[in-house]
Amino acid sequence: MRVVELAVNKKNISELIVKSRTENLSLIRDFVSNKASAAGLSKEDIENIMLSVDEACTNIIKHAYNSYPDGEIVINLEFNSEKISISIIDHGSTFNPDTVPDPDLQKYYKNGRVGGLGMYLMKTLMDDVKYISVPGEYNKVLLSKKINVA
Amino acid sequence: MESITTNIFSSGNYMMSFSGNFKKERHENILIEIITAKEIDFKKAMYFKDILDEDISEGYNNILVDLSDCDFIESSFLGILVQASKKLKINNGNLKIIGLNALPDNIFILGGFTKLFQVFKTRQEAIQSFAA
Repeated sequence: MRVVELAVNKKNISELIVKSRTENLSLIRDFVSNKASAAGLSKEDIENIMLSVDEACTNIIKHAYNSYPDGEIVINLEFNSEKISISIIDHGSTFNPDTVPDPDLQKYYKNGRVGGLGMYLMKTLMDDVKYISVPGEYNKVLLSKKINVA
Repeated sequence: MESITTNIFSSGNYMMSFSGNFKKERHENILIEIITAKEIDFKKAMYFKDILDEDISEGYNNILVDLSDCDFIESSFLGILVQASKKLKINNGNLKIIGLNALPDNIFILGGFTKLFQVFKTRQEAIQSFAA
């Protein structure tokens, strides 16, 4: 695990690098929770961001790295007085989020599926969710949320 | 009012490692699955799926999931509840929820899951609702 912290142009920037292991998910949640608290977010917003990052990292562990435990996950978190932004980078298999439609909950219920809710929750809980995938190089998930001071 | 507490066990080592996170009680024809873990990630969620599948195959139609001790749930856990609920409905059964703390409660409301599950504040209320 590696943590880097910087303050550039009134932006607070922190970086956490961990291996793609489920036992690191609680580390990631603690990192996000601590930094989001420092940004002055409400408890509810912090919890929503924490869950969204957890979902993104779980997807990386399960799908991008296919449960390979030594892949690298890089989490960059930055905030200013208006917005908190998080980027999550992996070097696993390319993932095209457009192939995963937003679930209609009633249809989801009828189909009896287990997975597929992670992105739905991320999109519900964050203001903006973007994916960038460069095949053979990296995948990046970008999450952001406006700051409503607690 | 009969209430029996049993510990879940399994023969596999992998399964054993998660058994301390779940506990079950029985109240008449209602099975109460208590999540004792503070956090449910996808591995624990998949273990809980096996528990629910076993409950359903043993003939339990009314299952109450108690999340009072749990502060964090991952989306795959929600998917597992949805799947189990669907299986129970086929047998005219029900899966209901109690004890939602702040984050799980928020996920249930924002994610629209309150349309799929009945959620109660107390065990008593939930038990009475099964009889209604």
